[in-house]
Amino acid sequence: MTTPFKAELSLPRQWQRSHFISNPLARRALYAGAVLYLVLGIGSVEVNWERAIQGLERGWAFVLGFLQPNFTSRWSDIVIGFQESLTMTVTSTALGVALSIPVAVGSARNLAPTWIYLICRSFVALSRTLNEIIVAIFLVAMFGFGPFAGFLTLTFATIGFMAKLMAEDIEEIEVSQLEALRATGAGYLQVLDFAVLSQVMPRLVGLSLYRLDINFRESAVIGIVGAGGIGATLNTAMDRYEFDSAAAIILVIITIVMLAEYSSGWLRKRIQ
Amino acid sequence: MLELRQLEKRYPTGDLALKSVSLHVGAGEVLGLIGPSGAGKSTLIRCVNRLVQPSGGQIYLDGQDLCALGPSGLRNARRQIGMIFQEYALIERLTVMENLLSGRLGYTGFWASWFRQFKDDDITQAYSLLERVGLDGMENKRADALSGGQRQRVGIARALMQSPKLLLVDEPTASLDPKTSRQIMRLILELCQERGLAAIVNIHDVVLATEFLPRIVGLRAGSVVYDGSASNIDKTVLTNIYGDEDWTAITQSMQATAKDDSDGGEQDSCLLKPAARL
Repeated sequence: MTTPFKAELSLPRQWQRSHFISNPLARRALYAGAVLYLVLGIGSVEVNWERAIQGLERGWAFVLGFLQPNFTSRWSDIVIGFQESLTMTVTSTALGVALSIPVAVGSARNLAPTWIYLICRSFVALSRTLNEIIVAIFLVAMFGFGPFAGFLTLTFATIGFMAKLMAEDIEEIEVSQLEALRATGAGYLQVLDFAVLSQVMPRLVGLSLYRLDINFRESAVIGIVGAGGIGATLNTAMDRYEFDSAAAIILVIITIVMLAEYSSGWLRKRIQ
Repeated sequence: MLELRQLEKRYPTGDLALKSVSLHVGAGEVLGLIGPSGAGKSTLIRCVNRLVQPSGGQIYLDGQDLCALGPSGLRNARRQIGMIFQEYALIERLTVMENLLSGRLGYTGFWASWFRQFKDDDITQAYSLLERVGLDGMENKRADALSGGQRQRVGIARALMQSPKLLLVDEPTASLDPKTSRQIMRLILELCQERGLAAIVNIHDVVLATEFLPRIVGLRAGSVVYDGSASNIDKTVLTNIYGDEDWTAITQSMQATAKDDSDGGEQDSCLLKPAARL
C-alpha cells in the first residue's frame, strides 16, 4: 500500500541551504582569516598586571566604602548638589519641551515647507550628534562653572531629543483629519491645534516625562565636567578618596532615579 | 453657481488625473459623480476646494475664480464649501461638540478656538444640528467612541456648521453597511433640500446613486463621458463609463427601485436637467 512510486525513488533525499559565499575555498579562507585576526588582536593588548593588582586594592577600598555609606560628613554638600540638579532638571525639561514643539513641527515633512524643514532637521541633527558631555564642556567654558551651564546643556539636548521623536509622530498622523480641518477654512495654527496636537498629545506627555528621567541622570554626569549639581559633589568626593561619601551620593542618585522612573510610568499609564 | 471650465490636474508623477473637465452645477442642484476607481472622482472634488491644486482651468463659485485666490482668500472661500469624507475624518480624540465646532474655525480667531470659546450662536447651532442628525445628547462623547453611522452623522453636521453653499461629498457610504448607507444618503439629500444646498456626491454604488441622485455625471480616465438624468442610465452608458461587463443585474435592480419610487408617487423632477450625452 505504501509502495513508493517509481518517480519518487529517483527524487533527491537530501537538501542543503545554499551558502552566502558559494566558493568553498574563499569561504574557508575568510573563516581562517577571521580567527587569525582575533588571535593577533588579543595578543596585541598590553596588560600591566602590577597596575591591575594595585587597582584591585583601590577597587576594594571603594567596595568597603560602599558597604558603609557615609551620609553625615558631607550631608550639606549633598543637599545643595541635589537642589541644583533637580532645579536644572525641571527647568531644562520645561524650557526644552516648550522650544521643541515648534522645532518638531518644522521637522515634520507633512507640515513644513522644505527650507524650514532643512533648517530644523539640521538643528536636530546637531543637537543629537553632540554628546551632552561635550556640549557641557563647551558651555562651561563659555558661561563658567555651575548649574547654569548644565541647564543650557540639558535644554539643548532636550530640544533635539523631543523634536526628533515628536516629528516622527507628527509625520504619522492621519492625513484625513488635516484635510478635513483645512477644508473648513481653518487657519494654520488652528489646524495644528485641532488636527495635530490632539493626535500627538499622549506621546508628547509620555516623552516629556521620559525626558525628565533622562535629564536627571544626565545632570549627574555633566556635573563631573563642571556643570554643577550632584555630579560636581560626586566628583569632589571621588577626588578626595572619600569613597564612603561617594557611595552615599550614588545611593541617593539611584533612589531618586527609581522614584522618578516609577512615578512617571504611573503617570503615563494614567494619561493613556 | 459652481462652474468648472477645462479643469485639468496633472500630478507631479506625470499622471493626468483630470482632462479638461467642464461642469455646471446650479443652485440647489445635487449631482452624483460615478466612475471606476482611479477615474479622478476624488481629485475632481478636491480640486474644487483646492485640497488638490488644479494644474489648469478655472473654477467659479458664484462668479469668483477659486484658482486665483491667495491663502487668506482661499480660507474665506473654503468656509462656504462643506466637505464630507469616506472615513469620516473626524478628530478622533476630541468630543463630538468640538468636532462640530471645528466647522466654525474659519469664522473664529485662534485664541478663541484654543480656549474653545466659541460664539453662543455657534453653540446653539451645534445643538440644533446634533438634534437634526439624530445625535442629541451625544455632545460630550469622544468621536472614537461612536459607531460608523454615528460618525458620518457628526461629519455631516460638521460640514453644515460652516453654513456652506456647496457640499462636497466623497464616498459618504463606502465604509457603511447597506442600511446605514441608505439612511445617510437620505439624510444628506434631505438636508440639501432643506437648506437649498448644491452638492457633488462621489459614489461608486451605481444603484444607490441612481436611486437618490437625479443627475449623474460619469467620469472615465479623467474625462466626463456621461452627464444626464439618472433614469437614462442603461447598459450602454455603464459600459461607456466602466467598460465591458454583464450589467443585467444592476440595470434590473435600478429599474426595480425606480418603479418603487414612482409607485410611492413622490419624485422630485424639478431639479432634473435634460439628458445631455457628451
